Amino acid sequence: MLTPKDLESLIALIPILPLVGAIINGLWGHRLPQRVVSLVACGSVLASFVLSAIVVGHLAQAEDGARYVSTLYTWMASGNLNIGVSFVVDRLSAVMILVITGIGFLIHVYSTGYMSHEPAYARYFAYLNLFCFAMLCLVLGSSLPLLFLGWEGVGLCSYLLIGFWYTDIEKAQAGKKAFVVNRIGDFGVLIAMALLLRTTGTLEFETLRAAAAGGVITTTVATAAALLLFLGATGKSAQLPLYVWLPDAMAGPTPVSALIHAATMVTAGVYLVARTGFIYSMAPIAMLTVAVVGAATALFAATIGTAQYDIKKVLAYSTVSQLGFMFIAAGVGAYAIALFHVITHAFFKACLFLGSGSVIHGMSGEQDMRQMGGLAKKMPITFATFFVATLAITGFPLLSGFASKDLILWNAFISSEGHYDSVFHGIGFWLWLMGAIAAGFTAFYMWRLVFMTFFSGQTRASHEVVHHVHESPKSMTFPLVVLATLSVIGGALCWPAVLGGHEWLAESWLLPITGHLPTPEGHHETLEWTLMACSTGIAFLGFAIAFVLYARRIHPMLNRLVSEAPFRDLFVLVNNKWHIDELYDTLVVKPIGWVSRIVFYEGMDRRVIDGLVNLVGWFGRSIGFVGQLFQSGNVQRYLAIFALALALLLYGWLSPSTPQADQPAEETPTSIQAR
Amino acid sequence: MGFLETHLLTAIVFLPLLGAFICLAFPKGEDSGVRGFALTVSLVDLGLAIWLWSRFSPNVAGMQLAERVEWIPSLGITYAMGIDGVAMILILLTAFLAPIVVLSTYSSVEERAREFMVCMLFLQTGMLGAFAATDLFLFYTFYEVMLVPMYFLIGIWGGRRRIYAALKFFLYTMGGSLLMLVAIIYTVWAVKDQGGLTFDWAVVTQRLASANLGSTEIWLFLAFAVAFAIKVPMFPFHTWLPDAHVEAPTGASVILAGVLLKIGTFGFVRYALWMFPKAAVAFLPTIGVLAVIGIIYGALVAMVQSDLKRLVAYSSVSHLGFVMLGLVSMSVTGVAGSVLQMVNHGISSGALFLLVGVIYERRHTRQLDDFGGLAKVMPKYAFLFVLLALSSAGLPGLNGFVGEFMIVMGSFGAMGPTMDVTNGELARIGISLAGVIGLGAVILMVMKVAAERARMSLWQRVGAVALVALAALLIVAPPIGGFGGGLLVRPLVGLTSDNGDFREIFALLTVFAGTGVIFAAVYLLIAVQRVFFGPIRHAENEGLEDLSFREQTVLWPLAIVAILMGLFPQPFIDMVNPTVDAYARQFRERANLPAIAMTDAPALQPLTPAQRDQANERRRLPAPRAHGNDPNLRVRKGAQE
Repeated sequence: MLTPKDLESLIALIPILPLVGAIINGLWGHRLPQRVVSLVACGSVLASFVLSAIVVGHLAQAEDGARYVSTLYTWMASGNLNIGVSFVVDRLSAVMILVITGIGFLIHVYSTGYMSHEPAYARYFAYLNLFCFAMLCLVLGSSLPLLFLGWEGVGLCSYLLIGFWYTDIEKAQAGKKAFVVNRIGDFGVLIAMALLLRTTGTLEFETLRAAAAGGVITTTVATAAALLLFLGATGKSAQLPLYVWLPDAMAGPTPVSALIHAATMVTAGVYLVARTGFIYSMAPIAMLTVAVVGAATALFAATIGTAQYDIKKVLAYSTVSQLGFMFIAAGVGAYAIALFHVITHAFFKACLFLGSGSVIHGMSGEQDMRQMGGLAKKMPITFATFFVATLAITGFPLLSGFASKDLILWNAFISSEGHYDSVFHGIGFWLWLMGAIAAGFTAFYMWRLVFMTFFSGQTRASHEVVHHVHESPKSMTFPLVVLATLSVIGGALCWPAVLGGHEWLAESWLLPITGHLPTPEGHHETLEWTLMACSTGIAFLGFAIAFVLYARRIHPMLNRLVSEAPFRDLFVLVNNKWHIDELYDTLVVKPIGWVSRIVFYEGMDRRVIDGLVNLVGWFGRSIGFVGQLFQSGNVQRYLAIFALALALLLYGWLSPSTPQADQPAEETPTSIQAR
Repeated sequence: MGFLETHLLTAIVFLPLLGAFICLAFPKGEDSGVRGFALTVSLVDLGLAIWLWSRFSPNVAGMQLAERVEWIPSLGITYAMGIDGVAMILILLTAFLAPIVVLSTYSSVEERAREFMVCMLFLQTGMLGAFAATDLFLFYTFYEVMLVPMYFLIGIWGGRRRIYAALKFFLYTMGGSLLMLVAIIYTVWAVKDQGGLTFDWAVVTQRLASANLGSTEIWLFLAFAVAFAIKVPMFPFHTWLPDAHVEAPTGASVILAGVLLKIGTFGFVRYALWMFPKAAVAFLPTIGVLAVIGIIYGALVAMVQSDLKRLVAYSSVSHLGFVMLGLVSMSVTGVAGSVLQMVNHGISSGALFLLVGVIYERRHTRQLDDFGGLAKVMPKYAFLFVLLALSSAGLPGLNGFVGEFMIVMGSFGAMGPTMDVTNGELARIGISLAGVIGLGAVILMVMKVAAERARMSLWQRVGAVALVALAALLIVAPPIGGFGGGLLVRPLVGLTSDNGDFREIFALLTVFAGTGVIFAAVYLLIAVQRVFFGPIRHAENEGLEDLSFREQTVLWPLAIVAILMGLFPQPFIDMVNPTVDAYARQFRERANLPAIAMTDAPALQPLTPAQRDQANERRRLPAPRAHGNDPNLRVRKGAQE
C-alpha cells in the first residue's frame, strides 16, 4: 500500500513517461536501431499503464470522493489568474487514463508490426508518444487551461500524424484541415475560459464546481459557457457542423486512425462535457443543444457511411456517428453512460480500425472495398476479431455495444420525463427515434463492409495483390484478439439494470462526479423492453438488407437500383457526402479568401492607405515645387516681394484697429461659457 | 568594478556605441575580425544585461538601479536612467537578440560588413537607451537615434525596392515622432509653473496629474499615441511595416520585428497612457477596436500573401494587435500578458525572419510557390520552422500561448470606461480631424492644379474634381466627421445597454480578438504546407543543404527560449507583475475607471466529498414542472442511503 504522497509523485510520472519517450525517439531515434525505438515507445506507454493501474487500484479502495492531486509548479499567475500545473486522478480521469494507456499500449505494439517497413519509424513513434503525453495531460489536468494544453497538444499530434506521409500533398492538406477546423472549436473553449474566469475567478474544476454549487454562476453565464465549450467539443469530437475534418483524417497511418481518430482523442469532447457536467446541468438549453446535435450527427454521418467504398472512410463516418450517440447521452445528462460508450466504443472501434489496417496491410495498401472480398479464409484471425467487433458495434444482444447503445437510447427516450423535462418535453421520443434509425444504418454499413471485404466471392484485386494476401504478424493480431475480447465483455462495466445488471460504472464508480442518471423512478420495465426490442429489430433490419444485397455477391437488384434515376442520384449524393465540403468551400473558405485578397490587401492596404501615404509624399513634393517658383534667381522679383511684404506688415502694425469694439457683446468668450 | 556597479545601465547602453566606434577603426576588408568583434561586444552586453537582471529586484514596482546626472541644467534636461519590470524584460530581449542577429549576418552580409556592424551596434544603443531613459528629452534622443541606422540598414543592404521602403519607414516614423516632440515640449512648458522646467518623466507625470490642461491634454495624448501607433504599428498606420520587412536584410528584420516595434508598445505603457490617463481613458475603446481590427485584418492579409517574408510581417500586425488590446484593457493579467507577448513576439517573429533568411540565402527567393517538399531535404530546418511557427500561432506549451492567453483572460474580465463619455470626445475629435483633412485636401488640390496645370491627364482631372468635392463635403458638413468618429463605438453601446452605461467593451472586443487564433493557425499552416510538404516541385530545391552548424547556433537558443517560456513562464511574469500591477491600478485610479477587482480570487475552496454529494443532490432536485402531475419524481437508485 502506497501513501498518498507516493501516489502523487507516481501520478506526475504517468504523462511524463511518454513525453520522455517522445523526446528520446524524436531527437535520437533515427540513429537508434528499430528494436530500441520500439522498446522505448511501447515501454514508456506500458509503464504509464502500470502506474495508472496502481494509482487506480488505490483509488478504488479509497473513500467515495477521493482524488489524488499532484501539483508540480505554477504555470502562470498574474492578477486574478493563477494556474498551477497539477494533475489529478479522480474516478473520471481514472477511467480515461486506463483507456488511453491501455489501448495506447496495444496500438503501439500493433504499430511495431504495421510500420515495420517505414523509413521514418522513429519519427512515427515520437509523434505517437507525444500524443499519449498530450492526451494524458488533457484528462489529468486539474484546470481548464491544463486541459486546453492537452487539447491543443493532441490536435498538434493529430496534425502531424495525419500528414505523416507529407510528401503527398493531399495528406498534408488533410492534416492542416484537421488543425484549422479544430481551432474553430478551440476558440470556443478559449472564450468559455475567459467567461468562467471573469465570473468565478477560477479555472480549477473543483473550485468551479463549488462556484456552480454556490450560485456564483448564473443560468445565462452557464448557458453561454456550456455552449462555447460545446463548440470546442464539436471540433474535437467531429460533430455537426465541424465534423468535416475527421473523414479526411483517415489519410494518416491506420493505427493512428485507431488510436487518435477513434478510441481516444475524438472522445475528448465527451470527456470535456462530462468533466464540466455541473455547468451543463445548470443550462438546460445547452443540454438540449448537445443532445440534438449529437442525434443529428449520429443519423447524418450514418447515412454517409452507407455509400462509401473506402474501408477506412466507412469506419470514419461510423466514428462520427458513434460520437453522436455519446453526445446524445451527455446531452440528456447521462454523462456516465456517455463515458460508458466512450469505453466500449474504444474497444470495438479500435479493433475495427486495427482490423481494417490488417486487411490493408494484407492487401498491399489497397483500401477500396470493391477490390476486396473473400478475405475471411485468407486472414482468419483478422476476420474473426473483425466479426466480433462488428457484432458489438451493431448492437448484437449481450455484447458491449449493445449495452451502451441500449442505455443511451433508453436515457434519451426517458429524458422527456426526467429532470430537464421543461426543455426536453416531447423531444425524448425523437432523440430515441433518430438514434434507433442511426443504429439501423450502422448495422447496414457495418455488415455491408464485412460482406464486401470478407465474403462476396473471390478477391477482386489484381492477381499480384491477391497472391500476396497474408495474415498479419503476431504483433498485429495480438492487439486484435485482446480488443475483440474486450468488446465482448466490456458491457459488464455498466450492465443495464433492466437486464439484471447494476450499472456499476454509472451508479457507483462515477457517481461522486456525474451524479445519478436523470432517469425518473417508475415501472418502466415493459417500456424499456419494448424499446430495446424495437431498436434491436431496426438493427437487424439493417443487417438483413446488407445480407441480401452484399452477402454472396453484389445483388443484381442493387445494380438495377443504382442504375435507375432517383436512386442513382441519391446514391451519388450520399457517396459525395451530401456535398458538405463543397458547401463550406463556397460559403466560407472562398469568400474569406476573396475579401482578404481583393478588399483588404489589394484594396485597403495597397490602394487606400498607401494611396493616402503617397498623397502625403506628393504633398511634400508639391510644396517644394511651389517654393521653387519663388526661387527664380531674379533679384528684382525678390526685392519686389520683399517690399510688398514689408508694406503689408507696416500696414497691419500701424493701422488703428480696435477689434473688441466692433464685436457684439454676446459673441464674447465669457458669454459663450455662460450659455 | 565600483563604477560599473553604480553605472551598470549606462554601461549596457553605451557599450555597443563604444563598440561601433572601435569597429570604425578596423581596416577595410577585415570582415571576419569586425564580425568577431561585434559578436564579442554584443555577448558582453548580454552578460551585463544578465548581471542587471540578477541585481533587479522583482518585488519592487518603481524605478530601480537609477542613474542621474545633470545634462543641460538650464532647460531642466537630465541624463536619467532607470528600469522597472517592463524595461528590464525588454532590455533582456534586446540584449538576447543582438548576438543572434550579429551571428546570423556572417553569411548574409558580404558587402561592407564593417559598416553593417557599426549600424547594428549603433542601433542597439538607441534601443537600449530608449528603454532605459527616464527623462523625456533623453528618451526622445534615443528614439530618434534609432531611426538613422535602421534607415541605412534598409537603404544600403536591402532588396530591390530598398530606397522606397527605407524612405517610407523613415518618413512614417519621423512624422509621428515630430508630433511627439511638439507634445513633449508643450507638456514640459505647460507644467513648468510647478517648480521650474524639467524633462524628468516621473516629475512631469506627477505635475500633469495636478495640472488642468483641459482639452489640450487630449491633443497631447493623441500626439504621443499616433507616434507610438505608427511604431507599433497599429492599423491603419501599418503599411510601412511589410515594405520595410520585405526590403530589409534579415538581421535588420529581426531587430525591427523583435525590438523596434516594442518601442511603440512600450511607449504606450510608459508615456502615452501613463502620462495622460484622463485623456487616454476616453480612447481606450477606440484603441481596442483598432487593435482588434489589426488582429483580424493582419491575419487575413497574411493569409493571402505569396511572399513568405511579407506573410510574417503581416502576422506581426496581428500579434501586436493582441499586445495593444491587453495594454488598453488595463487589467493586471492583460497588461502582464501584453508585456510577455512583446517578448514572445520578439522571439518567435525574430526566429521566423531568421528562418526565412536561411532559405533566402540558399534560393534567393521567398515566393511560396518556389518551394514545396523542403521537409525532405532540410529536416532540421523544417523542425525548427514548424516549432517556431506553432509558437507564433499560440500553441499551448510554447511561449506564444502564454501571452495570448493572459491577454484574452485579462481583457475579457476588464471593466472598460463607460462608453457614453467616449462618444462625445470622439465626436469632437472626429469633427476636428475631418476639418483638418478637408482643409488639407483643398490646399492640396489648389497646389496640384497650380503645379501640374499643363500636363494633366483626364484621369487626374477626374481625381482632382473628386478630391475637391470630398474636401468641400468634409468642410461644409463637419457633423459627418463627428458621426464617423462616433460610428466606431456607438453600435457597440446600443448592443448591450440602453442607458449608455456599457462597461463590457473589452469583453466584446476579446471575443472578436479570439478569432485571431483561428486565422493565425490558417496562415502559418498554409506557409508550412507550401514550403515543406508535398513533393519537391523545383529541381533547384533537391540539393538544398540543411542548417549549418552556425545557423543552428543562431536558431536553437530562440527555440529553447520559446519552449522554456511556454512551460515555465512564471519567472518572467514575476519580473513584470509588480510593475504592471501598480500601473493598471494607478491608471484606473487616476482615470476614474472602476477598480480592477471584480473577481479578485473569490474565497472558493474545493468541496469536501460530503459537500459535493450535497451539491449533486441539489442539482438533482426537480425543476418546477410545467404540468406538475408527477410529484414522486425521484432518482432511480441510490437516494435511499
